[in-house]
Amino acid sequence: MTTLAAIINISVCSLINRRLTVFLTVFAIALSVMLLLGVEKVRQDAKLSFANTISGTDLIVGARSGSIQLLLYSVFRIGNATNNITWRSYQTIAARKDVKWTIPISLGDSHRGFRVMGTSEAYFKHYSYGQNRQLRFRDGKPFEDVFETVLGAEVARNLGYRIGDKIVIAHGLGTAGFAKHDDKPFTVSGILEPTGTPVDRTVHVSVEGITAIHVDWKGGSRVPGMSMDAEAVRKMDLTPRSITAFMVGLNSRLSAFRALREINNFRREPLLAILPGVALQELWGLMGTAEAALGAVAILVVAGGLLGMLTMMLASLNERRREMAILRAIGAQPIHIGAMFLIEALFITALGCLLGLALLYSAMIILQPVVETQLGLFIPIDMPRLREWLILGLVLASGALASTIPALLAYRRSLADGMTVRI
Amino acid sequence: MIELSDVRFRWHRDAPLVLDIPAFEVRAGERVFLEGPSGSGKTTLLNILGGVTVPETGRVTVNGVRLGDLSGAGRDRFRADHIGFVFQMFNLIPYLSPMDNVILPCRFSQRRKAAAQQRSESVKNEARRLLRHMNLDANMVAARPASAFSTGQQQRIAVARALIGAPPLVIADEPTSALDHAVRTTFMDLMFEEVTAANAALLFVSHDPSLATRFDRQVTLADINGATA
Ligand SMILES: Nc1ncnc2c1ncn2[C@@H]1O[C@H](COP(=O)(O)OP(=O)(O)O)[C@@H](O)[C@H]1O
Ligand SMILES: [Mg+2]
Repeated sequence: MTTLAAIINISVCSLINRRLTVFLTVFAIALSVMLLLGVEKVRQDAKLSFANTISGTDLIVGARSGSIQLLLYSVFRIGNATNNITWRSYQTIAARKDVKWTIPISLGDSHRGFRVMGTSEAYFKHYSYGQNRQLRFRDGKPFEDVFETVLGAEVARNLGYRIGDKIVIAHGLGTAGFAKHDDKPFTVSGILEPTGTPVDRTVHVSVEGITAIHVDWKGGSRVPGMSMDAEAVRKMDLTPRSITAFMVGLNSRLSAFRALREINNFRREPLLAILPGVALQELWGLMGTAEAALGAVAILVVAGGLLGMLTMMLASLNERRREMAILRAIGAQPIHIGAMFLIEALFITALGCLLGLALLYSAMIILQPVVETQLGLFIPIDMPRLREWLILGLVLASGALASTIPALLAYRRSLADGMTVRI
Repeated sequence: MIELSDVRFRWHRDAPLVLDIPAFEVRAGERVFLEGPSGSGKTTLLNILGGVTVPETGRVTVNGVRLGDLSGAGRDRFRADHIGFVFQMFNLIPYLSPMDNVILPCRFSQRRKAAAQQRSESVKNEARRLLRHMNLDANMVAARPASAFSTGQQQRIAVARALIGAPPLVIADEPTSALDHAVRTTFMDLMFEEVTAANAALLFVSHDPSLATRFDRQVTLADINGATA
């Protein structure tokens, strides 16, 4: 036991003595570990974040396009719809006997970089995320008036809005400089609790509100000479002519496939209905190749880091022959000399792993807000999970495995050299 | 302390014998000067006594233990427990302090650790005591790495290390060859004093006969070694 302690102690002192090369080796391993864990983390968290965004919705219906595209724009606010669907089709399907509830979704406007979504009160009643969690109000209540709005938590936090504030919605999805519907401001009626989903980054208004701000617009610009104030608009029939998509909750899950088939064969208009879970699976399939490629690159980079360590250790073998002979004279066994190299490799790899973790978490702390605002993906900063520990264990084991080469060489050499090195 | 009988050694099966020693003995506490020209097999003999090299035939007994009865690891442990070595140069691990270098044998041998503790309360105290006796400043020996010390100082540190934990046998392999004359005398004085105080047997190897006078016995390798390489 003391012998082992002595060997460890000498190894550590020796490493400190060669601190510059050792540090560079550790740093190379740390960078590679950071990359490997980062890829793994993004992969897991992206999936988790996507999977947690929607639950309890049986079908999503939109204009006919790709199912992944429909999923992305309706749920994740990524990309845009190519076509709308008519309000009448929506009403027809909503009236089906097997349909329990529907949530209309009308997209295309924005407020200071956050997307605006037209919907109904059903959204606050039926939309759920994560493990069947309902939306909850941190402040206020759902919109009741045409010109009322409910803000996601991040919108309110980021822009510092409170109940009663008035906001102006811009036409289109640009951040600024776009035509604004500034003659018809919306009053904040409610602010939602954070959910960790794109809901946090959404400005919610009623579908009627969306119609209202567009009455005097045609295409992308204001109709000249036609300008109506909010009061006049309020008196009009604001039933929308079309919406972007809608979510469907069925009375029974069992009827999902039938409903799916019938909606996809809807006669009046080409519609696309998707099962969110299935579309998510398709999305994973699409990401799988990129994931595998990234993973392979990360693994190669780790192998490169460990090869660097191997090179460093083999190079040090010669200059440490004397040291090894001295230890032999004092009573170290050749196996102790071999163990020294193993311990050294474990030490360097472990330090590399720790530093890699530290770098990863620093990077996450720095990048989290950027990723959240730019990509709408919430990357939670939490303790490494089992899988990540397993990866670190694997890196450590690979380091130990790599070190068996110099360890074996050192063992054989010290057996041959004995107490005296003949140089 | 040391008993050799019919020890033969060669490096390869086809190589000539380097050592062929019918009988050689060193008694406990005896200080023996072993002389021989360079390349005559002195270091090889010391390696055999330390159990690092195994003779082709014959019996090697050190401190009553037949080395041939021990395994490789057993011989390593035996060496750690019973023998202190001093070599011509490169005795110290350069990045460890003299203090840590001197303590090292106590980390490989419980026996020597216990002996050092018994002598001076703690291993560190004993190391300090030995270093002081070898004329090394107690303040300097813990702060700087061994590589910062002169060759003469390094050799004295090596003697302190060989003596810590009172091994019954000290083997010195040309420890003065790298020292100039003035330093050599001081070194020999200090070493002799301490080995005598520790009651250890000393096998001192050199090709410089002028050092032989103060030893109990002077042996020429050629006289005990039948092999003429
Ligand atoms: N590891 C070795 N392999 C082969 N021959 C060796 C080895 N070590 C020493 N020798 C040879 O053995 C002989 C004795 O060497 P050595 O014991 O070192 O002599 P000395 O210490 O008396 O100078 C020399 O001829 C030397 O070349
Ligand atoms: Mg020699």
